Amino acid sequence: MLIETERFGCFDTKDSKLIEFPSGIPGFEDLHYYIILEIPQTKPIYWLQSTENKYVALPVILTFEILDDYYIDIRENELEDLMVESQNDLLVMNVVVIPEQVEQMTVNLAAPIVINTKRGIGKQIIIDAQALPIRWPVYDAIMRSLIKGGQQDAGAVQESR
Amino acid sequence: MLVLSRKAGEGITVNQDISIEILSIEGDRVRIGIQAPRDVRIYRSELLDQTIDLNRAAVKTPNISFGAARP
Repeated sequence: MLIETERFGCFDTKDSKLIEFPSGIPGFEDLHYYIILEIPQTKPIYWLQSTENKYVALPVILTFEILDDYYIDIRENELEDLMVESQNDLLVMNVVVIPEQVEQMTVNLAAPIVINTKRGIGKQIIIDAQALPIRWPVYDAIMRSLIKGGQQDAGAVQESR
Repeated sequence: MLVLSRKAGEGITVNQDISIEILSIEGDRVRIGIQAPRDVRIYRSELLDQTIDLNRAAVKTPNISFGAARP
């Protein structure tokens, strides 16, 4: 299927790359289908792109790739909602807010987006924990990961226009 | 919306398995204890409001590139 994006142009992608968010994403409750875009110029920031609204693309990081000590507790019923059979199918990402001053970018650690990559189902969950700030300055950690290199496979759609 | 008035030490039960107790009241701050099954997520309401705001702000990201930072 051809997916139009405002930010990066058109992508031709397999239907199997689609991720369904049955309850949407907070703030975008009416949008239910996304793909993960991997853009070389912005890595390790990926983009959760709506396939229903070309203007909606959330910059995200694969948090375990960037932060060594990120820890979240996903409940059994949440795993069931996502139809997770194996932990290996889980992808955890967090939304990054990037202002004009890029160095001041923050990540919302309190609201991980959890995706079952095998079944293509996702959900943003909210975790109220002192260790998970909603605006955590992430620029330095991203720069460190760039120098370190080596990234996991996000099942993302590569740039191929 | 159901509206109730409670004193410190009193509680509310929801659906038999969730109990909410008013632990103390001091000035404009109320301390609340909640007991609920593990599969019930409990969080301060503003976390959802802030996440909505942050998600909407994230979509307005300027064009970025880390090309220069690559080793």
